[in-house]
Amino acid sequence: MQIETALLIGVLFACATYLILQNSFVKILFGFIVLSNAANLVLLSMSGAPDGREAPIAGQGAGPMVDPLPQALILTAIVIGFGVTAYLVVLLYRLFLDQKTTNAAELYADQDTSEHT
Amino acid sequence: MMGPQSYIFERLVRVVFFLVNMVALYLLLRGHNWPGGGFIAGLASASSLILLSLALGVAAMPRILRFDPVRLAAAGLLVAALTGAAPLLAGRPFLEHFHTHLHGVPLLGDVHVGTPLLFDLGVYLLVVGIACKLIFVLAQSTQGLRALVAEEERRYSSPLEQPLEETAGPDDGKERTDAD
Amino acid sequence: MTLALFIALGLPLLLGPLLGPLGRVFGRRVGWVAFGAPVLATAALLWLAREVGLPGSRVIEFPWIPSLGINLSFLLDGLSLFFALVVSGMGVLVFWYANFYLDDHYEHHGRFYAYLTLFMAAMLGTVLANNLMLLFVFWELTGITSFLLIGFLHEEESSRVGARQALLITGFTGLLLLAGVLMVRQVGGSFDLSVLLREGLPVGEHRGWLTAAMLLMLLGAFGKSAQFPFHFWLPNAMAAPTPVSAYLHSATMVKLGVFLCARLFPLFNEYELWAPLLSWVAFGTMVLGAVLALQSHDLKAILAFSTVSQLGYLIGYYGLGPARGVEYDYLHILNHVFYKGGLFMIAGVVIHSTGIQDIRQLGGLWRRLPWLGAACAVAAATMAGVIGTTGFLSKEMMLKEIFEAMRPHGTLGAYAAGCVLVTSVVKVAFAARFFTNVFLGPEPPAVKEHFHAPPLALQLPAVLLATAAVVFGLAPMLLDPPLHALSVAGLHHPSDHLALWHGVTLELAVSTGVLLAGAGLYVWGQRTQWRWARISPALRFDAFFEAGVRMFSKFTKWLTRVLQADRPVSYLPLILVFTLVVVGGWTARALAMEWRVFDWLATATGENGDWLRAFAAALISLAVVGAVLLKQWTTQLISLSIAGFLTTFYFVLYRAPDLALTQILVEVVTLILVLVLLGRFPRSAERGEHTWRPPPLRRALNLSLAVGVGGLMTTLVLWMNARPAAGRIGDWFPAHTEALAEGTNTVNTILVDFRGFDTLGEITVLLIATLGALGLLMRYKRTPEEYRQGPLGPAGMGLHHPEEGKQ
Repeated sequence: MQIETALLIGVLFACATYLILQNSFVKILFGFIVLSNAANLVLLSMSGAPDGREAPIAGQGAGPMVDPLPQALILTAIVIGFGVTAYLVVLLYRLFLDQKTTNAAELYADQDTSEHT
Repeated sequence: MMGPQSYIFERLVRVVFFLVNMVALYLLLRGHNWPGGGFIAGLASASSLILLSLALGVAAMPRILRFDPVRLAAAGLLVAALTGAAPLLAGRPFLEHFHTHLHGVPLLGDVHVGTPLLFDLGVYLLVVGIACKLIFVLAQSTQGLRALVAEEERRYSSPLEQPLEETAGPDDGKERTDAD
Repeated sequence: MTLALFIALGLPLLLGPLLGPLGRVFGRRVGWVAFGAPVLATAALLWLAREVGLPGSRVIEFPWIPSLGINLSFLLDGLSLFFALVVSGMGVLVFWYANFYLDDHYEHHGRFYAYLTLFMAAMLGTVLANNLMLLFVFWELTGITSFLLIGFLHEEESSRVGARQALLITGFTGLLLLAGVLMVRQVGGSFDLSVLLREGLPVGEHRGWLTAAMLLMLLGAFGKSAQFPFHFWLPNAMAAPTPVSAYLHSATMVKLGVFLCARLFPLFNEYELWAPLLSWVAFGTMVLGAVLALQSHDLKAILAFSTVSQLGYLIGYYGLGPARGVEYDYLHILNHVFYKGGLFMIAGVVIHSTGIQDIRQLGGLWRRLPWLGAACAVAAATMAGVIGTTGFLSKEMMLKEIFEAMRPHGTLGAYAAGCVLVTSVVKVAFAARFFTNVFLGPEPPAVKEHFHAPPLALQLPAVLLATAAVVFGLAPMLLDPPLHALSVAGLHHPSDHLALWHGVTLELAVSTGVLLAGAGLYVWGQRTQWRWARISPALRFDAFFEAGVRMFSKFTKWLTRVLQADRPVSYLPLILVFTLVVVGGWTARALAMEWRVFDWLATATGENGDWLRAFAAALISLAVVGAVLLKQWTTQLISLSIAGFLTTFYFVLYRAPDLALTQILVEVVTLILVLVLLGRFPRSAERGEHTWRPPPLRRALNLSLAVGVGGLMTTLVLWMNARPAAGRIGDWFPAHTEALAEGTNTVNTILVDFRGFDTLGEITVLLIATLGALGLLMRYKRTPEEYRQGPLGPAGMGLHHPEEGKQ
């Protein structure tokens, strides 16, 4: 049983959700980074509790090995997550240069008034 | 983010740069049997290059590298794709890998080589290329330098576009507070 | 027979698209090329009618999608050939007429004839189709081509509105027809009419489904035939050039609903819902149409409303039809074609030569157009049902059948009879008005000023139709052989011979009474100058419809703005709430059903957890919560990085060295990347964040959503781990990694060998993301206003009205 992993995942998801719901784009970026970590951990928890198991290197030690498939998936996910984070960073940079703000509420503030008049 | 003009730091970084790349090469080569592989080695090499850029200043990097990291990444993708496509010529499935064992190689003894290493090399090149390019470009642009040289601009954008840095000076953020 | 079918149906289909380019070469003379299509089709259909061996039937089939039971299957029997001949015969007249009507004042002749030819092909396809799916396809094709024809003069607002109404109504009801067809297929086992008619429908076991199918298909028929509450599109469709009105909206397309009722009659007529539904709707429409026709002043509107009325009668006729079959439906339809097609063409000639559509401004045209006047007199008399015309025959039979139907149907019969009587009276009045107010009386100066003589050839079709009405009216026995030959088993009951004079009967008396009453109404109307004739706003269903369309457009805009706002802060909570409700609710339900929630919760907590892992998890949690609570971006980022590095440790605890290495390196690179970005932002931007704090209620919502998502994920992870693992795919890889991939690091062999294709895709994605990011560093040269509007202008459904834009 991996109750500590489950609780950790819960905390990470909660924090990521809270950050993503903010108005600040920087916080949304942070939320995204936390979210990808949390998702990786969910995948990791799928490999089952690691107690008494070996790393997935064949031919070493006699004990049973942990499931390597989630690990391969996570490795891919980490790198892809990096690519997406980098894209978001550049996007945020561009947004700031164009709109002179890093805040969604401020960005849409003028639009809100123009739409309702 | 201009490189710190410290002689000691610079010397140190040069040494670390070679060390890290040695480790990266080692990780790449042993990846098939031990923890390591193209992604990890690529990230390690990329971080060594980034470290170098911190020491020498990011503006100096094009001069040192002499090639566009995106070309490195494209070459990596090409290597990986060709490795995958090569078996097709022999009528085998896409991405089938082949292995051979060399015996009695000086210094190393028995060596196992196979096409997975080529594929991993492609991954390595790609990861190095994109990680470096993204950081260099962003660092340059945030310093108010042109992120892309004129030749590159044509490559990544349409003729109707112009570089960001021409329209947004480094201190436009402060104008915003004045306007408020 | 295949060849004849191809000439009748395939040739117009192929010719249609060609006419557009040909029109550019020939100009208005392209009409004569198009004229070949109906002529050839009529000849081919006549030949087919001879070959089929009536009253038998023949099915011609070509495979299309045989696996779904959908084939190009055509049923040649009396009913389909009758309608096909009406379509193509009327087509000959209309194409002739259009060639003289569409003079050089009009543009795009090629396009017009292309639409018209395609429309004729679609009509022929619909009536000849045996496969219900094929019927639906052609049915909708008629709707689309009629949309194009109504909107042909698309520079005018009324054309566009009329075309849109027609398309929305007929298209929407066509979809109902499709639903009905699918239900019939599901229950009856076949799309083929020939099969269904032969075997009947399994009424006993699938009553509910069949009733629903019948309702849906009848709604399709009502939409196409402009029955209440869909009747309003037909008058508005009159914005089309008159040949189109004459062809589509009097003689052919609107008869499709009638055709469908005739086709369905043998299948459904014994349902208890069939007679009341058809009768109440159709006879009501009949009265409504007649009254609206009396209240209209526009020539084409009068005719359009009277068409609605007549269609109501034809559909209601099938509704009240006795189970053994109806007798005179062909007569009623032919009669309507004779007079309504003629009247439309007459109206067209009048409009063409004077430019006036309002009946109040017309008059005295007899002296200028005697031939046309005579034709109009005959056609109006036919409409009114004066003795000596087919209209008289039709009315006699109509009254006779209605009086017969009163016995079995009780109230319904009385209602129908009342409707028929009222309608007949009103019809006499507006028929008389149509003739006298256009052709008799003094000539208004406006007419004198604008009049230019139309060519005699333009008047020819109307005269021909009027002649036919008189000839067949005086010698009804001429109609007997063809109508008998065309009768269909199941639908028709062998009728008595038609005769001009049945002796002095109740029908004759009533008919005379109706004529007199109608004349009285007409005289009263003339006395009062028709001043009271005005369609009351309560009956302007087209206005209601337009208002509904506008409301719908507004509603969708509002909905789009609310649900699909271009800001994450407004739509993310919506998605999250939805996810929580659906996934959370489903999980809760599943857990509650298993009744083992407490079991596995007990085992989960009862075990000795790994204390090292728990410690690492606590540290990571602390770091991430710190990242949320801290105020400054830089400290937040550092806290986040600490969490990232600790995750590396967590990976180690999970025996994942590759992951640990990757994570630590990615963490380094990400940290540098974000630091570079944050270094670019001025202090003011960070301080400015505090002025945009969301209101407390919103913060509470965010918090509860966050807690909800976290709790849900924890539950899901625990739940999935509590389920017994029935063999892992992952166990296969370590067992075979050395043998198949010649590597011991299973994670790496999965990446480069077993799942190498995924990795190739992944690195491609990485390169694409990088190129995208590089593209972001260039800026399109446009003004701030252009930038805000985006490349496609302001957001919306594209359904806005010009009035709205001005507000």
